[in-house]
Amino acid sequence: MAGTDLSPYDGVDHGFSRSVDDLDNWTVVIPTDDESITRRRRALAPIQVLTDIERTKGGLDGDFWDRYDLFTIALAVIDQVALAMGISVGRTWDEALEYATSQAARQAPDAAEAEWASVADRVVVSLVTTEVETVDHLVHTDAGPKWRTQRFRLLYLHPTGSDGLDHLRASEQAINIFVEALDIDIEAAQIANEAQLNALIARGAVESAVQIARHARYRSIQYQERIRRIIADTLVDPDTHDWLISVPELLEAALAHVRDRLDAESALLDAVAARRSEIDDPTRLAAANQLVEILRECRRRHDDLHRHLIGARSRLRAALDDRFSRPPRSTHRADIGKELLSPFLAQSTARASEVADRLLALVGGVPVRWWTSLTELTDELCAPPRPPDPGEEFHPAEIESEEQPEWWEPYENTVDAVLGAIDEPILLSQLLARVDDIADDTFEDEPLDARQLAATVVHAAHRAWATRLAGRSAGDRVIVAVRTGAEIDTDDIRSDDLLLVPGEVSADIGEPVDAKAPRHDLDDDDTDEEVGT
Amino acid sequence: MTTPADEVDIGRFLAWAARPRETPARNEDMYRVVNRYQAEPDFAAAVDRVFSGAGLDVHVDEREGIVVTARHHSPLRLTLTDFMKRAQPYHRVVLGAAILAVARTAYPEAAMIEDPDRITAFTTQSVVDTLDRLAQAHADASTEDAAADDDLVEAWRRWQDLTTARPNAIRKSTSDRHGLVKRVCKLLTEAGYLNARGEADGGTWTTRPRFRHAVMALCEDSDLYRLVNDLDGDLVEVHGGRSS
Repeated sequence: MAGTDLSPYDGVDHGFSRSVDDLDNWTVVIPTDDESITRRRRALAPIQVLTDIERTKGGLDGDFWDRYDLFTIALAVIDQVALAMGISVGRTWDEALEYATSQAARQAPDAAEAEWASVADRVVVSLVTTEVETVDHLVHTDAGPKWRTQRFRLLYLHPTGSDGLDHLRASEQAINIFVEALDIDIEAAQIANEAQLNALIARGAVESAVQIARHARYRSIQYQERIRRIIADTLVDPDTHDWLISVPELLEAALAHVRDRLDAESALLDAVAARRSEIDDPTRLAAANQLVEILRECRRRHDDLHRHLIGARSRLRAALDDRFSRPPRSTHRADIGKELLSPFLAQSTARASEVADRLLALVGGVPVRWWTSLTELTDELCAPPRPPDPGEEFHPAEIESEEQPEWWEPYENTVDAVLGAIDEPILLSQLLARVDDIADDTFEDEPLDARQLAATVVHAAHRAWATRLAGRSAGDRVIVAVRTGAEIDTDDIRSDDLLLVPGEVSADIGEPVDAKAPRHDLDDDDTDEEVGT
Repeated sequence: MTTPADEVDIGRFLAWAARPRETPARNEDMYRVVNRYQAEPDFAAAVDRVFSGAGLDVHVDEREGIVVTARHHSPLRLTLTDFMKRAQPYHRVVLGAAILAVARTAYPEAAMIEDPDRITAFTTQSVVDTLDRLAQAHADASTEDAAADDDLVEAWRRWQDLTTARPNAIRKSTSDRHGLVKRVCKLLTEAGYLNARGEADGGTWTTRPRFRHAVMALCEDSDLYRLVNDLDGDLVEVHGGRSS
């Protein structure tokens, strides 16, 4: 990849005088349909995702993103997850977040914790959600160029154990990024590594050899991952993989890989141990000890993979037996996207709203809860609290009421927003006519009741009719209401119609010195309004 | 033949079925009834009959526990009024679209529904994007303006009518696209199908493996398929003219 501007033969044959024939011979043509190009195209796609995480951070909320390098945090998270896969099942979501947070903290040590947390959240979420999107790439088939869709994931969640916990795992594509080989042929790379490793050990270059051993560790994780996927795929559809020839071959190759790894690691351990005995320098001794530690860890992983491989076939058989003991599925299963969602969107409102009821019933679960009987409920509510044991820490009862906004707050907030938005005079009756729409538009968890909202509007308008100006300073916005003389008389509301006029205070108005200054009250005779319920 | 003890266990089974976020691994008693369901065909059949009477379908998985999906007319089903008071037809439409879009995002390929280990992570934003794209595709294919009759306006126009909100805006309302999708995801979380994971991109969610049972039920509901794909002309006459 170095020397991007050089043509393929430049730099190779300097000093040669070339004839035109030579040049033809030397020109290496790699067409876009070459297998290696296609493979690299596929292998590079995950890197694009990582680049995107970094590139698109400018569009996110907050102005702190420039201080963080999301790309490196993402790489570090993948690495952590991948390395954890050999020994344990992977990392949990929270562990990954924690790790990402610690890395963010290192990048901007003086920033707030909340900032690190949102950086970590962003990175982890970006890594696990890649699969939702697909990458299209062009391949050349016998029938001409064709677009194919590649769907991959970098990290994914996998349920572990029976307690409903799940762990993050790294995919083969993600591990590929770390073995610095943008190619998915594990076996070929392995052979190359092998030769390199032997040569390095022979020459006593232990540090370099350990580097290679680390790569081999990633390869092992990759093998494990591929075999896990094959078994999972086979359970879903027994015909996905060829269990007669290619899968046994892969298992053989993986076993051979493990065997060679174990041999190589023993050889390396011996070599390092031999060198360690000759070392007197304490720093170099510490380095050598560290190498031994890494090699031991590699070895544990390979033992693990070995067990995994030996058990692969029997686990598959057990799972298949289980699968075949159940009836095959016979019903037609609709494709969600093409056969349900897309036609649903094309349906009329009437039909689609009817279908929505069915959808909600299907995914809504059983939302039924019953109260206990009144006697039991009163008993429970009236039961005296358990007296605390001596020395026990006192926890006050947790009553959530403080967090909950009062029921009228959304109404008042809504009306405040509506009045605040008035920029030209408007009649109260006009506002009331809009109440239904406003109620529809602004509810969050609880929809607003249109009649309550109308009542709130009427009250607010009448407060504006007696606008309190004292204590305001120049520039404040005020709404002043005046009577129009007309009356509103509907089923719910009987009131004077008011004209609401927006205005601005032009001079500071001090608090009245005489506190007894008369004020209009809402129960003034002129403003009799009544809200029916 | 069921004994009184069996009937008590059926009751217990029902009680656990109504707690979708519990798993057998965490509750001994739930583990026991789930195990009985799987080991004793007679018990399973009795449970199925009881649930069928209540309009419920049961799927039992030793890891995921009990997954219950309600049929269309079950009195125990979640209704729109539970979910959203005074829902207008167009609210229902976008709600239905959001449910389908979440299912589509969770299982982008049909074969994924079969994978019992599959967990998808997605953001509110990605569901909104899916719907935006599809609605736009319908809009591109359409040459006509919206029908004047409210009942005849296509569902994709209802989606496009929703306002867009910035994904990380603090205030959410069900009248904007993100707020609605988030609301649906919360509902699915309460029903035990999703886990909430964070606030990035308007909310991050991961599916629980049991979600596939609900989506399967959705994909295998032939009436739903028929209704959505207009395969029965009569039904349009019966329900289409109903005013709301």
